[in-house]
Amino acid sequence: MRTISQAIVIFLAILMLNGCKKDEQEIPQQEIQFVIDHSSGSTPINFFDVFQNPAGNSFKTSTLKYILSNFKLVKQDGSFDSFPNIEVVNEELDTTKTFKLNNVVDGSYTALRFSIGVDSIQNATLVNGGGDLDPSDGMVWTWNTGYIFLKHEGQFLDSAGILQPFVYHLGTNSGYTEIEIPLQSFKMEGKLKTIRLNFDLIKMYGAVNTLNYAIWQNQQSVTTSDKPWILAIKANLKQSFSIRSIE
Amino acid sequence: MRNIWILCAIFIFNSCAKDVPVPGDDVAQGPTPLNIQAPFGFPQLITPQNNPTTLEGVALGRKLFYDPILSGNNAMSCASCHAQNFGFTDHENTLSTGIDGISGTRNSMPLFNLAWAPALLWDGGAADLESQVLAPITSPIEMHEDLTNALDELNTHNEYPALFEKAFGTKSATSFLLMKAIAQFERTMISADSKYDRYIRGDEHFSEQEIRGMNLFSDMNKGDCTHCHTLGGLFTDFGYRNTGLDLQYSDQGRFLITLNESDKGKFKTPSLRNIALTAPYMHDGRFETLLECVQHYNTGFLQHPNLDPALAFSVQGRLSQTEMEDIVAFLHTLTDSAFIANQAFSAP
Repeated sequence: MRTISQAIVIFLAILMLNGCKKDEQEIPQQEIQFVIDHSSGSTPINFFDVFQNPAGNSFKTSTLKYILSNFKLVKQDGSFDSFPNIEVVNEELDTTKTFKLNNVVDGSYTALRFSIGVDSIQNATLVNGGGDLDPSDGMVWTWNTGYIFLKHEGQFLDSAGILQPFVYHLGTNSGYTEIEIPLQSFKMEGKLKTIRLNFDLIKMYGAVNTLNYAIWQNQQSVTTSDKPWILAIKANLKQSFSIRSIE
Repeated sequence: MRNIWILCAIFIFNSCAKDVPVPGDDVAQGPTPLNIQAPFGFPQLITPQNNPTTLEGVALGRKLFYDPILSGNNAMSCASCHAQNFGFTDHENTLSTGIDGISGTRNSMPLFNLAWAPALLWDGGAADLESQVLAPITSPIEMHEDLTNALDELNTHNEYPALFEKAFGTKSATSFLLMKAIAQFERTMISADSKYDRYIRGDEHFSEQEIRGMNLFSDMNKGDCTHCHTLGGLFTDFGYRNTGLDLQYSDQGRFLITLNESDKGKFKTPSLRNIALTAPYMHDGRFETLLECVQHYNTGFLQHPNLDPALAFSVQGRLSQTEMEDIVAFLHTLTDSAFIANQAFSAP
């Protein structure tokens, strides 16, 4: 009987020690801070300046907002570490353009992966939060359940020189876009690193496929049967992010 | 031996002390779980794990359902277009009209037995009850409210922060908690006490006409209604079907969600429970009476390319006038007077 009681005490002690394990720091873990810049070519964008896309449309931006999720750091052997961040980046809010990946294990990494949008599980309902997701943020379709992965809205000059609105709302599971950026000799060693990422709007409309606002003017994944723009813009988005600096 | 157990207890309590509720504190004890039972003849009820039904959550959802605070001009609530007396439909308008006086393209849907619905709205666009909540609140032609604004109003209200705390353990109203509370209330809105239910349970008799109507309803060569309006618990299979209302639909229904050509003109099969209360009928409220509806399925349906096979192979004119009237008599047995009088679902 006494042996059993002792066993119970030991068992509970083990349980207790394991139950609160998160206070321990066995493996050195650091943070990666991201800073996001938005540009048109090499020029930082702002909402007042007019730029030209590869199709030749003169345009200015009024909204640039998108969701980043499923961050992964790929190791030399091809395995990767995943991070739970879901970031809503809004050009108008500087605070949204800086965020951190926590618990990055020291070591070498060969690539950075992340996605524009949320995966199909997260996109199947609006009631599961996570990260920055919040339906009050405007990045949702309420009558056709799902998140808007990316919004780019503004105005452009049509061939008659008249100012016209353009709207690009990418979403639905077919709009989910995975991006991979190779890392050159990237090593985490005991301190925070800052990765400065650039998102180039010019590449979004022409890195691989040229999108003309006069042809594809009001593009919303949930209302357009005209699907080719989704494939076209996905291919472009894969090329639209680049690393400006790592410090 | 006894000391060891006490020691163990102290160990456990100290190890993760912050999880232990403070005795005597109502909020810390958490909301009271509410176990919703599936009525006789209904399928098993599965409540989502991320939104268990509680007394406090349902009470909050009920208050929100009836509160115009969720509309842009604070003049329209969910109940404005979903009136309990009419099976939670809009009896005033064929096409429900929003706060700006703009009418939509559809007749408001009845609200009951939604706990079993795999998707909501006439086209199934809302994936679950929680997600559906946001559609009418934010729609520019319905309650036309900015969600951030609604949450600000709730968070500065003199009652709501305490109600959110009771229901969810936090005073702060968020989009997610708003969705969860209203969905919890809606899950409790069960209608299963019609004359038909009492007849099935052996508690009440049907007239001869009602029996004839019930038999015609399920007769594959006559009413053939049960293909879609499954006889028994829910009176719907939750499918989407083109019923040949038009050759060219002005509202493309399910197509708007899937963008598949084959879904043009398809709408969700509505439940037939309380159908005598929910006129007008069809997604656009085009029929005033149940007889008109039965007539449509007897002789009125058009050969749209997407017409449901169950109708495409039906003989037009297979029902006599008397037989149609018998079916209508049966449909009247699906009215649940106790449901529309139930105080638990009325304005708090």
